[in-house]
Amino acid sequence: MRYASFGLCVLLALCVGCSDEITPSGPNSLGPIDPSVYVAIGNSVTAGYQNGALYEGAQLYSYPKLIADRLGVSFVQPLISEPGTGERITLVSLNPIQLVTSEKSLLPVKSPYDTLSRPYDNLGIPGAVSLDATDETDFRQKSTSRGNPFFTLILRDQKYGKSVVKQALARQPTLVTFWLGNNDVLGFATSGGTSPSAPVPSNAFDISITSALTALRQGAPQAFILVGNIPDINAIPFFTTVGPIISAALSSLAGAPPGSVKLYYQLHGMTTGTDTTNFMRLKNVLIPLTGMTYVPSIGLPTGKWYRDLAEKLKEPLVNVIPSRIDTTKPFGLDPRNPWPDALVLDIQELTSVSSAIQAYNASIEGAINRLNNKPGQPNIALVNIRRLFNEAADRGITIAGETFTTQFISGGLFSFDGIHPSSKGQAIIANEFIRTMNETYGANIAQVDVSKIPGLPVPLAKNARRKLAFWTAASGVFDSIVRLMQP
Amino acid sequence: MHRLIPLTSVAWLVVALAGVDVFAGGFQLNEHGARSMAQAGAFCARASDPSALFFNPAGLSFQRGTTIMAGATFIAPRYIFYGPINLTRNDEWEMKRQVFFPPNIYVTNTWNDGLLKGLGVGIGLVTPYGLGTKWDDEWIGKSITRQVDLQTYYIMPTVSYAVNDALAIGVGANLVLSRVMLSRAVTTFDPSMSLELDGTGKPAFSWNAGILVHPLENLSLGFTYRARTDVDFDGTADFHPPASLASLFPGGDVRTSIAMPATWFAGVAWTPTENLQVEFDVQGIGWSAYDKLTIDFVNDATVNPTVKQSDAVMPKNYKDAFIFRFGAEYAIPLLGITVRGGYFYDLNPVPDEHLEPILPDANRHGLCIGFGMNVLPNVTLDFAYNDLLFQERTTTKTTYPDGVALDGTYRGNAQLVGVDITYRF
Repeated sequence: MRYASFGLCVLLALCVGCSDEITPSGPNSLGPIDPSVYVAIGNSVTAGYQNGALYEGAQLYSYPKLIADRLGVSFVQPLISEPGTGERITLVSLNPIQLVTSEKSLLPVKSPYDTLSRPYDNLGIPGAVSLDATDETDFRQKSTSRGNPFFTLILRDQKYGKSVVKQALARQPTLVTFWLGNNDVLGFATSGGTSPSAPVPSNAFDISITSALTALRQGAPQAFILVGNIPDINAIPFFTTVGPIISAALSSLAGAPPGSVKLYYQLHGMTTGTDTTNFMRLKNVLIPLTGMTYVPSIGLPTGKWYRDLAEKLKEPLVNVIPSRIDTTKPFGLDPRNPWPDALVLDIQELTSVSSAIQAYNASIEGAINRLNNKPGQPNIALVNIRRLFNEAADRGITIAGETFTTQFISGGLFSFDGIHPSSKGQAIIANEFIRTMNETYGANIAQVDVSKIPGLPVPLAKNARRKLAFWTAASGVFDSIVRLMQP
Repeated sequence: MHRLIPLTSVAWLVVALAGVDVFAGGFQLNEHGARSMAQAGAFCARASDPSALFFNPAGLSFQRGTTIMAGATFIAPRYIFYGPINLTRNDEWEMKRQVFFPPNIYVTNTWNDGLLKGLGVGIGLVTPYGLGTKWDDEWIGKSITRQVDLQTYYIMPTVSYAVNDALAIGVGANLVLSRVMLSRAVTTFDPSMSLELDGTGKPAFSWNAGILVHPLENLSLGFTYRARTDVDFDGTADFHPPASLASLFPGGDVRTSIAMPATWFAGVAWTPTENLQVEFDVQGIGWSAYDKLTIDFVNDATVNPTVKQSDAVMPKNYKDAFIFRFGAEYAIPLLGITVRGGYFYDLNPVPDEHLEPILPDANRHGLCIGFGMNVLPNVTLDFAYNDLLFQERTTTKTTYPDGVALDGTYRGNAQLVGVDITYRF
């Protein structure tokens, strides 16, 4: 018997010796994080909005859902049936690139809508601005006045909490991600600086963010809170795609020396202003994706932009066409028929954008710092989304052989609306949150395997064309995005 | 005026064939005869069987008569990848198991008397490169590689001459024939899209030369050199694109050129007693020739703006590497067999930044044993077994620019069995 047990010991020792399991990144662990109740606050990106709409197929890859999956916790989202709510943009052909918008649809949230007698865990509301975090206006009223169905769809009823933050706190969360404020500047930027005519003032942003984060901290003193910051618009294809296309078009004009043909465009707030700045110094001027529709009109004696505007506003043409505009002149190439203000961010507008983003990010960091280093409370962590996006724009992000850039469509990070991340983009954002959790709280949570997340949906074969022609975006394809961003 | 705006400025998928490094330490094969293999490849100072054509052509002149030797090396490599660390993951991915059996065939003749005394001629076929890696179709590194398969054949007409009993020289011409197949996933859009490259090397030429000296009765020194060969591959690429992408990624002809680096052996062999031979060799491989890999699409965006496949240049920055080899054989006349053993230490050329699942190379220990016996008066059978242990290797540097961003730990080993049959006329 003694020998037997001795033998057993030797055998055990041998087995222990053999089981040199490799855990190259260390054993997975949550560290001190209690993930049991995770709530996400944010805007369309947090909601999982993609391709101009919110729908189940995209919501399943929202970054909060992907984080929750990694944490192994249940996470209830207001899933919306296909094709979703919004004006879904689909790619009908890659060659040539053709994007079309489906009819506006407003589909209800699938179950659980009436049966869930508590707030959703994903409180990302497409179109929400920083003020909406603590704003206690009735949700239905807000949906009506803003023309945005999502407040009602996602927050439902004030009986679950009078504001976004209150609904989050009603869940008694142990983990909160908060990424809000992008729309405070994107409304201005996507509309070419026309509607609204300025970003949300930085002091107003500061008050909104500080009060939201303070309320969260006080309402959930033990919760682990992560806060995302605001990326630069230079890292968003909605703003960087069309400029180079115009640039190439202008420089290909027959017989013209490179750089000699200039685009005449309206300056901020002016009705007939023009600029002959060498337009293609792109850091000075950005053209939003909404301009794509009008690129083929450059050089033509056309008033297409004004006709489309009149139709959209249901106004007679004379009401939208400024008196000094002469649409018999070549569009964009003559000061009397300039590229319109709503389709350009000039240097002045870009300065407002970048100083607003800088100020917002300073507010976010300031608010975090003021709330941190309180005994007995975990610190709030900053998730540096701005750095992540800039890295993607500067040199791309490579993960296991797959490289992502901020190029429209081909870059893989953004969906077809040019501003909301694709499913893979969402996974990369989720990984940045997880990385921050790991670094800040000493956790070791495995990140999402980006290679397993579906890529952008390719068009069906029947839509494919043989000959590579030109980029087309039907009039108004991106309008719903611009509207969504407007507070 | 100008209605149509060209799309050229919308940058497209850069179809970089990231990480296609076919030729690396792990794919160099030095097992070209069971007798030398059982002695850890420490053979250049003796080169006393027809595999002299590979190890040292000068050795041919000290052999006798006409000999045919043929055999194969059965190679069963195994790799496991743990990670990726850059995604904080500890997942385990095992390379698919495959068995390879590169052949070796030699025919030699040495004149031992008469007018041609000391002259040796021979022709041999060996496969100095010829392995592959294959991972699961849906494994995490599928955008880097799914499969690589490479075969090379060196056909080596060789001539040697013994100036006297103590000095011989030899030289061989090498005709290099090769084939390569690579495949990986392209996942930006349709997950079914992949890239497959099939290429045939244009016949390339190289040469090798060696010298063998017996300064003392029981001591011999050998040195042998094989020149670098640049093989140009012509092949075809197939992206297996969905119909909507077919015109953007037509695939078609691709070209690449790869330097097969120069290699040398220097060895010293000692025969302390009649039945015992021991040898120590150093092998050097000029892997620094492999500094980058260029894939050139013939039909690329520069000649045809309507396609979106573009050339790729990938830095590899391999370092020169060395292998240290110790081997011995002991003849037991009573039993009619010769027993052999050896050990080699193989330093890998792959820097941490470029350690990739196509070739997860590491420093290796080779433990070698084997034996030879005469089954008939003029027929010899040789067997060899090598156990290759790859040192566990972890890289955290592939996320740097130009890297494939797959950090993790690799473990590997390989079992090799060599068999050769030799017939002496």
